[in-house]
Amino acid sequence: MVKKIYTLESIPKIEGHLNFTVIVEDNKVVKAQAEALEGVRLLERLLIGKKYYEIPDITSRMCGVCQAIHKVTAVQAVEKALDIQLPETLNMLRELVVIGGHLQSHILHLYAFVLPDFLGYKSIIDMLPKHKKTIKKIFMLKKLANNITEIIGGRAVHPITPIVGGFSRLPSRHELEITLNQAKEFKRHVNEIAELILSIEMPKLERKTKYVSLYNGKDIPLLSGSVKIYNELVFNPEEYEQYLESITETYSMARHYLIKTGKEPYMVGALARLNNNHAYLSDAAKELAKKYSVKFPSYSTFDNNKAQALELVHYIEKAMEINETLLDNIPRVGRVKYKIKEGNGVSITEAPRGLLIHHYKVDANGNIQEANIITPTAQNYKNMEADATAYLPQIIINKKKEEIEFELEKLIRAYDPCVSCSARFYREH
Amino acid sequence: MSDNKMKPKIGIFSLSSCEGCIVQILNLEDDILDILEHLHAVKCRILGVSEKNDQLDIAIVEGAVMSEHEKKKLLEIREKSRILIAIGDCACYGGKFLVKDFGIDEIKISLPRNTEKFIAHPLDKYVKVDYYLYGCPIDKNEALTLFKDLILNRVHVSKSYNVCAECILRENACLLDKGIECLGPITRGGCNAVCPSVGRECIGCRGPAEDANIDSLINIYKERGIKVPDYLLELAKIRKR
Repeated sequence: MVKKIYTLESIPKIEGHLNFTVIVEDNKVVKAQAEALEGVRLLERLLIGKKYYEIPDITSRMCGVCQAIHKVTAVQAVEKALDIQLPETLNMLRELVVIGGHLQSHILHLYAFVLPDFLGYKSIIDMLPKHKKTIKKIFMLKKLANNITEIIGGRAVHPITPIVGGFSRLPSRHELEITLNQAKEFKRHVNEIAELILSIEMPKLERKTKYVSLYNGKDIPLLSGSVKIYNELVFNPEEYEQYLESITETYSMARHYLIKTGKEPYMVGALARLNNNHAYLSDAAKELAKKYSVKFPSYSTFDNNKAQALELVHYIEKAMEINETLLDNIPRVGRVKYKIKEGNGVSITEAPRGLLIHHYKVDANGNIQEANIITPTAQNYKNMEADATAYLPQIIINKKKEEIEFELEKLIRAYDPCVSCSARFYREH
Repeated sequence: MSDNKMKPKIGIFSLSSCEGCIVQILNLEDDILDILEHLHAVKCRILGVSEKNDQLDIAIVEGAVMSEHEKKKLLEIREKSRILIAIGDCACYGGKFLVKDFGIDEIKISLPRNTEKFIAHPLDKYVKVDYYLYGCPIDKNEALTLFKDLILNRVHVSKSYNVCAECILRENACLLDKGIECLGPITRGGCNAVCPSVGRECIGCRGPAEDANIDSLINIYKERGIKVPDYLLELAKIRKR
């Protein structure tokens, strides 16, 4: 029996600290472990007893890359608990904040983390001498995306203005005109940048899994909708505990998740979103997908990168559409009136890396009694392990150890893991 | 200056954190390429930069120390760095000024990976810190000032005054006057009063200003009929010790 151990330590070019270990015996994977190393901040416990309005500020700190969506999801969950309903224009304004966040997160992942791998560089800094013009353009697009979040949200990292009951400050007409211009400028360059990723020949790993994302049957929703398990069923956000279940692994600081029936791993993220909703991609995104023969449903995890590239094209158009609608109907009142009451609220949204669940119980005084937060990467760990188990036997032949480990690293990176998020919310058992 | 050998060597490290402060550095989109003309990045995991190097001129560290492993890592970084800079509330204060659970140092708890207690300590509990960049997240413009200081070999000085000083310069209406619980009077400036300027109370993420008078803020709250939160009383007690 030949036993081989492949260990990735503190994987570079991902968000947070993750080790990944695969043990192979006679070309068969006997163990694959995603080991989150991040310190556990017990944030769910720290939230207990805090006032309902403090929650979004604290939970947005679970992640520095995809903070906008964390903030808005917490706000929405608390609003559900307090039975607060917002006018549609304020929801649209929130979506604009979130899209800016998604675009900058995708850009960071695709161009600072993924692209160097496929162009034969170790990092974006090593790419500088030969690709300075491209890198400048990438940073410019990142800035345009951040500007959208910053102008409406008050700050790009951990936005300030979204609060329970609406917004602490509304953008002026002039500011909405600026964000529209930023979006138009982004749109002018987005195809060229997306094609950098779409033109790459990615490795193939055909392994059909369960793809879970939001779904509403008319577009690719980010902030509301039902939850769809690809080809199986659709459930309401409030029912998530009936379908998804957490498990504890002694080797990982994060909780891991499975689909309850059948105890099967599942995947969330851009690929899951498009496997479920590709019919609703914008025409420009569809055209680009056709040009590069990207087809959905796709069962190859590496296509998550391509799905993100197509989302850049799709969501910037969505941002322009929302922005134009808002300019025709500029919101004038930022806050709705509400009463503090006892309640239970669930909000399920799409973070850049996939399905995000916030669930709070609030008592009659507005204090938080219970909190449950399920982040995308925590849900993906079991699928990563299953992918590694399927992938290793395919790549192990005639390759050096370092080459195999690099291939494995690219597979993990395709998920765009965010370990900080995933390890923030361990609860005591 | 394109010759790397001439440039100061810089490493950027991350302990337990959301990595939002590193993201803020990457958000210096207009300046980051210029900064890299003058500093030689030799270590930065999130960007995949890892050159073999024994000595660093500058180490930038974000995140709190939450495990023995991270403590060891921090001691190693200190040992080989000429200047060590703590960035963000986690590195400067263990994240306490965001979460406001003052007075708790550790919690005994059983967690995976043989973790027996929950701690979140600032860097200066274990090592000497040369400069601090406060805030959750750090302010982009302050980060730019820090880089300029480092490149020019100047001493970096944090703002000593409070958020109110900057809020007044921006001609914002005072939130305390509206009866809103704002921590601007006791919180260190440097953020250009970013929250009060968009209608939000200061949540104190940058930690106390150098002459912060907590008792006086408690009195202001009482005068204006704002309920004094428990954490503020706890903070006043700790500051007196």
